[in-house]
Amino acid sequence: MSLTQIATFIVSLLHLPRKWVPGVSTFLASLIILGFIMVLVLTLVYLLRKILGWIQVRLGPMITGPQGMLQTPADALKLLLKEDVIPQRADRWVFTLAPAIVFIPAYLVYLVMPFGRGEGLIAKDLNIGILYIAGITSVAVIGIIAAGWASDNKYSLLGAMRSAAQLMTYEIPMILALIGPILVAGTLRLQALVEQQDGGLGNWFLFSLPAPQVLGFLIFLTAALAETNHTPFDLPEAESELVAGYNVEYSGMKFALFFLAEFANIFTASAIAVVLFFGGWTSPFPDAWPVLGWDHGVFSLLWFFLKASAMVFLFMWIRASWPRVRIDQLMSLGWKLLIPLGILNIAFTGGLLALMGG
Amino acid sequence: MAKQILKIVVWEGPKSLLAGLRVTWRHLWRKKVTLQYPDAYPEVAPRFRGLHGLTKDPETGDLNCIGCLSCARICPDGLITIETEKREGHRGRYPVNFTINLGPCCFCGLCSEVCPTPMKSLILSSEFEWAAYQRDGRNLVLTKEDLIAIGEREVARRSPRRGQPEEEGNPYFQFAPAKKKRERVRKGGKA
Repeated sequence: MSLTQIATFIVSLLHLPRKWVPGVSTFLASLIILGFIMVLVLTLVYLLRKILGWIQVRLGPMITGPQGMLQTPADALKLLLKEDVIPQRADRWVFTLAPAIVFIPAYLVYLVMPFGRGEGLIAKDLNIGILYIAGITSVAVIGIIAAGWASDNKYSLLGAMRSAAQLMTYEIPMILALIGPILVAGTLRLQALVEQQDGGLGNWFLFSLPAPQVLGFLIFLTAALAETNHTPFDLPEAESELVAGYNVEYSGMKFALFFLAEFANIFTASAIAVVLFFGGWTSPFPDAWPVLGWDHGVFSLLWFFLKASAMVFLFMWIRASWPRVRIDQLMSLGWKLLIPLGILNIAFTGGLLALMGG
Repeated sequence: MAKQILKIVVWEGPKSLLAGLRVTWRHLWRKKVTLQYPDAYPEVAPRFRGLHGLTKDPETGDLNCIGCLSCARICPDGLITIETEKREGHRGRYPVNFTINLGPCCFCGLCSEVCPTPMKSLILSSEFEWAAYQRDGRNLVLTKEDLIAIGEREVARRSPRRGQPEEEGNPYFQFAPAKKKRERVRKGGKA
């Protein structure tokens, strides 16, 4: 049963006029996805604080709830109750719209995310899925620049400029890295991409012959770290240099939206990496003894979240380990190394496929 | 030159990145140093200089203090106030009032160090919680009752029967059971 079907069923219980049902159920489905993102982000923030704490030989949040599990819901509640400050000289309209412009792309990406096997576990299996993701995530740059500009604060403007430069630079190697798996699979449809990797570890695009995408994955990982403003590329919010980046002047609900978008993007990047390189929701050992090999229905969902969590953990691990790069290093790494390597990867992949008859 | 750059990009750079990940991975599994303070208490050092306390003779239950005023005299800030009187059956003079103003106290421990009784009468305990809402008034002033209560708790804590032997030569605390005390006094008398 798909998400829209569930939503339609719930709406049908309300006995609304017939012509309202499709609209209301679509609205309800979007609310469900929104709720899912909220829960996801709260969990991610909690995990980030815990893992960073553990790596720093601390315990992390422990007081609120068992093992501090209610800490992030409490923080979110506090953020919603805070005063919503708009600076006097800020451009009110742009200032108010910017968080939405940043959040909506992060939200829309989940429309095409293949969470599991079958039509039920993907909201809309677009036939241009990857193109849609690449296109929609780029929109967030406008929101970031708008936020920096509207705040009328030199630090937020500087942060926004850095952010925009960084996001545009790394958009290119990221898309170049995405082309590798697309060449191998010959489709842009996300569900089809995953289905082609069905059948164990050897079929994952990361390892699959004739054109394993190891280089492509490394490029994607680097670019994704930069795209999500993660250490070692967290220059837009370099605490010691710019107060907090483009969102200095934001507080309360609007800040929560930026925060939500940031963490939703981290999960998105992990999920895309899993879909394109690690076989999505397929089991790595399909022939193993029962439970490990199962990847239908709910079990496919489990595999997807297991793999995505491993990727998220890698992100957090990197965040705890590596120091921040300088802005010039960031730019030269993007333009001089990652883009040539990305093109090289496409050439190799295409050549290997042509020669070996992929 | 080009060869060097290639070496750094392909070999040494990734190697150092992995080395960084290895360090943090090992830290992830280490024992955590956090102490969940109000729920768990730190084990303070044996010579920790915490709140003051007055001890009693474990056998008779009488105060060990002989009212010599050494502590009041040596206190660099003059924070100890003692009123004494002669009392039947009590060695030396009996402290009727014994207050220590902890506000300016720096916990130097001189008061305990000079205490001449065989079992230290004035001790520095392992207790450290003395946050208060007001500076004056009773908040930061330990009265005789407070001091006796702290002393009782500390002696119980340090009693050799509880498996915590007295640390030798600790200038801030000497736990000497009554019997030993008398022996030592007698020996001193002979010499």
